[in-house]
Amino acid sequence: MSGLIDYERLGRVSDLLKRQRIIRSAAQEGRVRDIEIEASEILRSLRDDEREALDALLRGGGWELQEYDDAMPGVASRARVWVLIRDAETREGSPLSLEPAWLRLALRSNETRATTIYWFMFIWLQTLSFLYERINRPVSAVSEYVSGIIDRDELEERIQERLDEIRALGDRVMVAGPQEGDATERQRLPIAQTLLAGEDGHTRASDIRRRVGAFLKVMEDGFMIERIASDAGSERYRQTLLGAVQINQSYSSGLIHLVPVEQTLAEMDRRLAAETAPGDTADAA
Amino acid sequence: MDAHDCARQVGAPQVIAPSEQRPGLDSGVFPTVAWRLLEWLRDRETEGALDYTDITPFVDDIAPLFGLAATDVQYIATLLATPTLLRYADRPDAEASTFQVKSTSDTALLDKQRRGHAYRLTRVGREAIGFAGGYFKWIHASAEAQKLLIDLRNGEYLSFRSMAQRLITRIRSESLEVLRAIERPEVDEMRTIYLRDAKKFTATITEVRKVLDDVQNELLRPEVREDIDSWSAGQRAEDAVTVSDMNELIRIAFSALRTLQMRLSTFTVDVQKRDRALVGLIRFDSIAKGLFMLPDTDVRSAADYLAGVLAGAGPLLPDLVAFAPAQLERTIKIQRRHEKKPPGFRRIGVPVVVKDRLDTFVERNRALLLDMLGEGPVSLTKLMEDDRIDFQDLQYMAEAASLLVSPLIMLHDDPKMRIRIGLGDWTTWTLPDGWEMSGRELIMRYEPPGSKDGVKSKGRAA
Repeated sequence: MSGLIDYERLGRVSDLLKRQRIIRSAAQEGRVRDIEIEASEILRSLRDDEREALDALLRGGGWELQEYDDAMPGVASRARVWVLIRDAETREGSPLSLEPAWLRLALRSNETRATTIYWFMFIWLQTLSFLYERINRPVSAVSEYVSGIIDRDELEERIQERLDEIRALGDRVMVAGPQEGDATERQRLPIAQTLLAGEDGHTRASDIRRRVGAFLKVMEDGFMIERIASDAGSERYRQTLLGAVQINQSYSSGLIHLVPVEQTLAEMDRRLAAETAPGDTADAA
Repeated sequence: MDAHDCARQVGAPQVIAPSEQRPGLDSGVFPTVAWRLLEWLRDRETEGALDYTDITPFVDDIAPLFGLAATDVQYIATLLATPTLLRYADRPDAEASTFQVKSTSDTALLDKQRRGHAYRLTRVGREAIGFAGGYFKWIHASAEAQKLLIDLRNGEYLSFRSMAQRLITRIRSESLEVLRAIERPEVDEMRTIYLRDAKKFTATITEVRKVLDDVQNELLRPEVREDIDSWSAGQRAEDAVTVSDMNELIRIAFSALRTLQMRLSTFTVDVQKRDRALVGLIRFDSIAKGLFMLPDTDVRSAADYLAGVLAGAGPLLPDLVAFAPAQLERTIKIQRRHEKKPPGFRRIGVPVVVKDRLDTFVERNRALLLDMLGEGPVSLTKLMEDDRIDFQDLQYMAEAASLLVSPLIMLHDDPKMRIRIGLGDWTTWTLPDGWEMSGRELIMRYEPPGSKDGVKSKGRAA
């Protein structure tokens, strides 16, 4: 069925998606804003040709709209959730970028962009460790996004511990290259230099606390995580459906490059062994 | 799992390892609570929650009912969430004196969220509770769906509703298992079952859909609708089931079935192709450690490289020159006028010393500020970035700014040095609440009287 496409409605939905990347028709807990309910009603009522037009508009900006119903854990009964996923290719001129995050994450006004990025990446990977590694969850297990928990105090503790462990390795992580010869011939490793720097060789606990606090706030504002109910005095978060889908989608174009080669090779060996193991089932007809 | 004979005493702390020691309570209260918990979580699932559910309301209701402490109920929940090794053993023949282990299974009836007291049923838990409550294997789903038609044709409308809800729950739970089989790269028993029984599984979906079609057609018949309406009119409000309610239930069942079909197709195609990038567990902690070895290269700096990795997965935020009013939501704290309370009773003769906030700030930080001045020029930026002065909120911004333009309030009394104030370079500050501020830097510094050095100043020097 087709007819005149109401671009005004598509524009309203597109505008909200660009601002918050996730639209819910209802929430399991709490209330959904009226603007979100209105957008979800528009999305539910779109004809096929209108939905195609919306998808095309979003695709042009490097986005993909995915829809989930209450068969996905965490989605309220009879509700729908739409998430706006970034495709792998970045586009200039997008209304959304990482730039506001970098500005908000800088601890000091004279902090270099590189320092901000290094700190973000380090905290982010520890967070992903809580959400995936600690609960034995592969990146592809999107539906298990409800399972991982980030406790702020625990995260700060983990970061401090890891920094102390790395620092204890001494010069092996501060420089790279041939062991002999003077230091100028060896390559100074920028991330180690930055993250391990600090007064008396220690990173202040107050700095870590501020960085983690800013990180969690930025991730929450970016709808990658959401705060959940917790005991008094503790801050707990979990991943959103958007965060889980985005990680899964962009893994092979982004995160995979950080995985050490030996881990990738071990994974390939494991899969080959699983495929050729005795008793492996035949292909389904 | 031995909730009946566990060595737990009422009121003991929650976190003790499940024990096989005997005796425990002989009243059977712990298994009863365990069963009630499974049923309660099943009911939550029926209401639509495929998420972890906080069991605090259950604990609050059940503990006083059975004379237990909250920690007792939490203990039971922990017990149900403990993976249990089940060994299926058999005697090889009647004369054998020992059992031989045929197979083992490692399972728990509940999944526990890592923190707090939130749980959900596992597939095994669902089957355990379901066998008692009319659980059926998927292969029997079409026969169960037929009961809807039988109920409808025989006027059993109340039964229709509970049957429909059971069918919907069954479809959704099966759909979730298929989704987990898709997402998990490890071969588990469900994946094997789907591969082996794919044809039967798909046939069942088709049969269920056909039955639902028949139910829908039945609901279109005028005599059936009239009968339902007249029956419904004679029921209590909570028992009434209208034609509209039934149509809605069938619509939900169709929708759930469609989702199951799509997921099964995805799963079947993926398994056949075997080229999906299924990735095992990623050691993010190791990757974080490996970050430290990342070098700058001639082609690209480490920072640019990492920014590229984050381009798709990082927290994208609106990057707009101008903002819409909606973006101000929750960014500005609304100053609410508080009613001034009348002064409390004061005993005559006890003076009340009132200090304004500036005096209080100076008093608290005077020694530190003078030390800082002794080390060199003190700017607004330096005050904001020094952790010894708390700038976590903005309440000291006014004091700091006042100090920098009127440093005499520090009661500096060294005749050999005077404090000069002035303006510095153009600076941008990122405030703790996310706002940006820009302007000329404010600086104060010590200098001997009569000195002509110092920053550019305006007005009368201190």
